[in-house]
Amino acid sequence: MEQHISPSDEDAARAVQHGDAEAFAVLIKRYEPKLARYGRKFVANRDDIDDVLQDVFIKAYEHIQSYDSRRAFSPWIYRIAHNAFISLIRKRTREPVIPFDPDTLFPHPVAKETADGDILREEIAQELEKHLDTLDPKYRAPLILYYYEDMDYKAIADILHIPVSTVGVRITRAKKQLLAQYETRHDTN
Amino acid sequence: MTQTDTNPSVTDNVLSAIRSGKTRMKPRWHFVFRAILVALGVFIVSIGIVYVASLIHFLLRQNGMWFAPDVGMRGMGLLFLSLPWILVGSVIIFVIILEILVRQYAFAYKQPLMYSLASIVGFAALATFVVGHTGMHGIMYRATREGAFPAGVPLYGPFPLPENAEIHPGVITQVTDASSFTLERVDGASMTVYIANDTRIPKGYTLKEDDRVVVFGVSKDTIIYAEHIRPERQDAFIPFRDEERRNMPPFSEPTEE
Repeated sequence: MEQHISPSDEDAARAVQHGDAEAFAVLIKRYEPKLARYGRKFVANRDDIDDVLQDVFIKAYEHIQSYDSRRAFSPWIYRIAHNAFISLIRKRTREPVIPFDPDTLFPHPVAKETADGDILREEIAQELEKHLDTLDPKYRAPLILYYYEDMDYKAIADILHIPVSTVGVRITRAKKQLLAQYETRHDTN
Repeated sequence: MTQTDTNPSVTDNVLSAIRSGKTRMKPRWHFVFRAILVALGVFIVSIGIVYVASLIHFLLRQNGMWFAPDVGMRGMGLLFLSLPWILVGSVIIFVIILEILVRQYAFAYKQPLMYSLASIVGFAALATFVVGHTGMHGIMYRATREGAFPAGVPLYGPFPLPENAEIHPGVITQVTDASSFTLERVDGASMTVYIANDTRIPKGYTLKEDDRVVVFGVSKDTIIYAEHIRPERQDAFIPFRDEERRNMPPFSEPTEE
């Protein structure tokens, strides 16, 4: 049986750009589970997630020529997916689009990314899972990307189109909000 | 907890849409064209900001309000009240549009908004300063006055000096004696300026014909009682000189259809 060395995401995307539509199947297979997992943190209904994902991959294929193959592929496709999920949430909640977020206005000191050890990071991720839906999507997204998708601040900044320092601020605020909720729950119990 | 299997329906639907040609890749030129449009937008809006900001600066110098802060807080208030708010609003809108356009670039969105905003404002201030020294608005202003640039009338047309502002920019046409001189204001009015003992004049400055000055003081009819006289640079404002006025057709206000 012929053995293939699996191409990197960037190589596969480059192949698609050069007309190899089959190489797109490789990308779908790799990213469909990841993006579905990401989508589940925003949308509960599996059918809705599938619909959004279908649109995401079709949009990604249509726009693949806008992807710069010298850069990582992952933030590029996550950005498309993130926008699609947020747009669905906005449509349902009729939340207005705020053009400038105050969080992105001023510089913030960038918190160290390695502040949580690997074990602690996993524990936090497990704990977060239970209460994520109580968070504003604005805070939820960076938290998920950091703790569940193992992305660094720079990649998260690329996906959300926000300053790197704002990523740190939102993760810290999200954790504080969750901690406050946790403490309130335990106090009442 | 994590799901690793792909959903066959999503994969199949997408791939079959691609294979059947229902979903097509947009060509590269489409994105290159879009990038060029954004870059062009950044360029045009930047030019717009510089043009309008330098026009505000020119108009304020021309009606003397730019010099108002020299008389203290009262002058600051006068300058604020006489700002051309439509033009100021236009600059603010242009800055917001430019900010939205540059936020599409990674170098901008990865930094706090304050940095890109400060860069835009800094660039606008610097470019306004440079344009102010090219005399571009002066050329258009003269061309409008001479009737060679009718489209300039709404911007460079006659603009009255603010009423009761007590600020009179102009050219000394005649020094009568030590206590009075004739000033031709930028609006063409000939005024007699009276100097009192307590009128503030910079040390060592002697009033001469053809000097450009800003006179601060109460006016009544064609008389100004000077409280403060400040000499200005030759390019501080464009006077409405007699010899020019003789050769010029009168301003025609834009007519409403």
